[in-house]
Amino acid sequence: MELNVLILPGDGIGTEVTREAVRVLSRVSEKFGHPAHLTEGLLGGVAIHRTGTPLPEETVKLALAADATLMGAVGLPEFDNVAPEKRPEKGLLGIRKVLGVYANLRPVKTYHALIDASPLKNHLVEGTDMIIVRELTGGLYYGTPRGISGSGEEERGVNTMTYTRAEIARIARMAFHLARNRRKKVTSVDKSNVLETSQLWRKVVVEVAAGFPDVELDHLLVDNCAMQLVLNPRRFDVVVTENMFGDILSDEGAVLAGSIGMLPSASIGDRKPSGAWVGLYEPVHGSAPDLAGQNKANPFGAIGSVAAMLEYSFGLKEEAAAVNAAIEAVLNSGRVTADLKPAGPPATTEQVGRAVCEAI
Amino acid sequence: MGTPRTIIEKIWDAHVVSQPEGAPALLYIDLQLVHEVTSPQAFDGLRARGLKVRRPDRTFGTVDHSTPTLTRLLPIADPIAAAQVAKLEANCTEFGIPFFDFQHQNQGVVHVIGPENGLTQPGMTVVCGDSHTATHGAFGALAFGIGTSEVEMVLASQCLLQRPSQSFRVQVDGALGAGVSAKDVILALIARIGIGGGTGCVFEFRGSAIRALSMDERMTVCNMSIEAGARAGLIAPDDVTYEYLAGRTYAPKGVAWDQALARWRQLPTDEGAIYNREISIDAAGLEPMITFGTNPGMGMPISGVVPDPAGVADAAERDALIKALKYMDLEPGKPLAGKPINVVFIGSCTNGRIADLRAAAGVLKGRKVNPGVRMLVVPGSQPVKRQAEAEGLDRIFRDAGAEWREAGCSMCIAMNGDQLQPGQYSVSTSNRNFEGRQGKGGRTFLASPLTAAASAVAGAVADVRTLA
Amino acid sequence: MTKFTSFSSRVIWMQIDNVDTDQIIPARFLKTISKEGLGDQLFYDWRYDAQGQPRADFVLNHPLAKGVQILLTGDNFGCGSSREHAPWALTQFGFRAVISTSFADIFKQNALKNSLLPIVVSPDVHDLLSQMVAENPFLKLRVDLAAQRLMLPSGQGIKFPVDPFAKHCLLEGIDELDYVLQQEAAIAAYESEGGSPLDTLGAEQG
Repeated sequence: MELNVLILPGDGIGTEVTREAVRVLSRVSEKFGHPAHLTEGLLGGVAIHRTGTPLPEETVKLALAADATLMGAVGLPEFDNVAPEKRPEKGLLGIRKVLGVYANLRPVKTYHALIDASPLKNHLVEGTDMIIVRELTGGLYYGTPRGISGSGEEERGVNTMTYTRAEIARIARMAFHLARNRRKKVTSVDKSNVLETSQLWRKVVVEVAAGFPDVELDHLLVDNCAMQLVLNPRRFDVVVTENMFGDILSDEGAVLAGSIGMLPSASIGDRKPSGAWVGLYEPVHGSAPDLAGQNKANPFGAIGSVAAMLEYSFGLKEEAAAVNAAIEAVLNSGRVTADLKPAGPPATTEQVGRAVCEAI
Repeated sequence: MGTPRTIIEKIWDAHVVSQPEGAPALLYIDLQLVHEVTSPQAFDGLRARGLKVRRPDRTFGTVDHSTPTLTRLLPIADPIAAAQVAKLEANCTEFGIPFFDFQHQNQGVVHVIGPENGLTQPGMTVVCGDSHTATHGAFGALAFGIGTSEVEMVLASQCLLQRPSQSFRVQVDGALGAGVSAKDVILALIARIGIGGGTGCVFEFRGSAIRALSMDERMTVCNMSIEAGARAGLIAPDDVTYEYLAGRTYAPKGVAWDQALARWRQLPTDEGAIYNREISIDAAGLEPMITFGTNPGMGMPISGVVPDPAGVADAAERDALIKALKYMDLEPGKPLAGKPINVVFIGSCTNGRIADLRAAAGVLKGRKVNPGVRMLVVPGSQPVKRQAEAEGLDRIFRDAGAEWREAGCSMCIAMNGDQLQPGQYSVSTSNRNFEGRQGKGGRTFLASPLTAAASAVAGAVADVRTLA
Repeated sequence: MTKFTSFSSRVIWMQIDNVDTDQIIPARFLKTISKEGLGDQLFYDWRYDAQGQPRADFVLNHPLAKGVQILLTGDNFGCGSSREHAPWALTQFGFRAVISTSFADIFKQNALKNSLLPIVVSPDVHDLLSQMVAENPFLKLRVDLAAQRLMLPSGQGIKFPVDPFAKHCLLEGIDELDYVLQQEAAIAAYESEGGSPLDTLGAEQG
């Protein structure tokens, strides 16, 4: 199978971890006989530097042409105090919207070798295995009206949280569909005791559930869910929620696993006319500018994103499993980056990447 | 016992509910299979009339035409296809019809799952809103395709208005040579009598070559009866049929099995029964076949050359050939073997069963798919997929460089995103090579799994018998 | 169902044999769950170019094609897939009758259920009609189902065969399913007598 993939390394440690992800992808391509056609593009801070915009036209074209896009991370400290439209993060929001990737899938899984790195007690967190399905192109981050207006004491900031029935139904369907291949349980998270948007959300999710009688559905208010993630993370299989709620909860889920550097994510949309899903795959962590250029960043999240891409965008289950098994093997060997607090000397980003390649 | 009857007449007679003077017979239907493409309007019609499905226990559904084969981990991306699949699932649920949904462990192509689950049995009348329903005739059932209005009629009444067809005996004797398979037999028949040659008829396939075929292979033969214009094609049941059926989910068991056997054994055509038409084919004289044109009748032996319109007497036929060769961009008088190709498709209700996958794997073992070729192997159902994996066939396909897919109709009808780009050539084990069938502007060569696999290795139309 | 009445119309002449239902309505238009919009998609890949613009040289795009209700076409019309979308697309475009030397079985059944009359003529008559239409694109034919006659402007009538039951249903506007549902007693009797003596699907398990 041909793997037409666009690589967007982005900023900071994004370039380093993506380099390892591409190394692993090339190894899979070679070992399993899938010709890889890789293109590279600009996104985020580096794109602003070179073209003046965080999401250049060229990147959009390449992304629409590829079967899947592998991203690193975006964000540079020099843009910290700049208005949202001029920040590197705008590139990320932009590419998600352009590709219509409305479902963000973040697996949260504990690894036995890292169990001590989790901030939670072992007996609470061991065996955690969930996917957080976050709606990605609607909700509070995209709603209008938005902006800052007025002056003096009357200066005012506004954002809007809004969803259509159709947007809720499709993300809910995604969650139920995924749950069917897992432990058949969906937890829908909202704030329906206060927000009308959440009331509509809950109503539509219940309607969609009727089409999946073999899947269990329960509802949690988002503040309760935040607590439950810490008190009893194992009770979750598939969690589905709004954009901002999901952003917060999935970062919370990420640290349970022991390191935010571990986790991949997949963003899926249905924009392709060929009938295939569009996929954007990236590690959960940010660009970590303090760590950049030191060959210290943990590439497992980026490499795990390659596995997710092989599975969801190319249906290559065996190849994806091989990558995940290799990650686990290297984890168990203890030759890992500093953030995972290895017993021996920490490995570099590149050493970890090469070790994964060898273990495939 | 009265006048000797063909198996076709026996089944017909046993299913006539009423036969008013001058009107078509009211024929009882033992089994209706439904899929997502031809059923939505039928269920709507039922709903509009306030009717229920008369025999939900004699109706079975699956989804196959619009379903993606890349992965079942994610829902269907194409919203129109997703809606159509969801509609079938909702309709079946509403009307109490058992069905396999998209993620079901036994989901697959409708004409694969029927026999696989033992739903299709000898002596039955079987219908589906799909012309390849003829496939089920391999069990000695009277099985034929119907339109959506008739789907609605059967849902509502379990009956159809039908006039009997003519009977057409197709006698195939002798042993098939190496590299020649069931697909070549049916392609040879269609090449000989043309795509309208069987119009108004039902085939009965007889002879030693037919008896020697496995059930999977018999299904291949019956499947393409429609491509010769016949509504249905039967093969009388025998021990091969009974062995296949024994133990399947919906097959009779215990005492009921013995009773069924006794009834089935009475089905074969009586000595002395008369057929309206007859034809004989010498199996030993057959070669692997390949189509060159834009209907299944435009076929020839793999060693042949593309026909020259200048040699065709009839003006209309000559024009049709010129048009076909133009669409396919082929030169008259040149062999087809050696023509470079872009895609190979193994699958469909014609050749998507375990026997077909074994045949293709046998050719690909230890070989590689030509770098210029994209090869898709699409098992006809999830059970076929699992069995192939248990036998290590998927390993062979993947090691060779082919894509191993989920089950569905896939590139046969190209409704799910698996399709040819304009101008691309495919060697396909499916059943139709009409213009644009596998994708707008796509050019299809129909062939057997052996020929398709050999062509994948060669990167061109190839004769499996001379493959290096 | 409305009754099928006699009508006169000009003729569109599609001089192609073996027109299959994949050409009449390509598979990608079968994803619809209704019957709407098929008229625009009729013969899509012959009718429109890659940019979706009508091809000037295709018969259906000829200015004279508008409002025409009779299609004259080659042998074995409607072969291939059983999709009833084919007659739906033809009738939505405006056709009420198709003249050919032969029709594929399933297409013929589907057409009759949708008030699209398949008219079978001999090859000689077909040649005659083709010639007449080629010489005079404004030629009008009259379709009289009751008399089973195709009337030429000269007054000459060409007899065509029609299944008597189908004819009766079309002329009287009888819906075939209504007719079948009226046979409830016969169907129930057949079922209560155990159905087909050959039926082994319902046999007790074990």
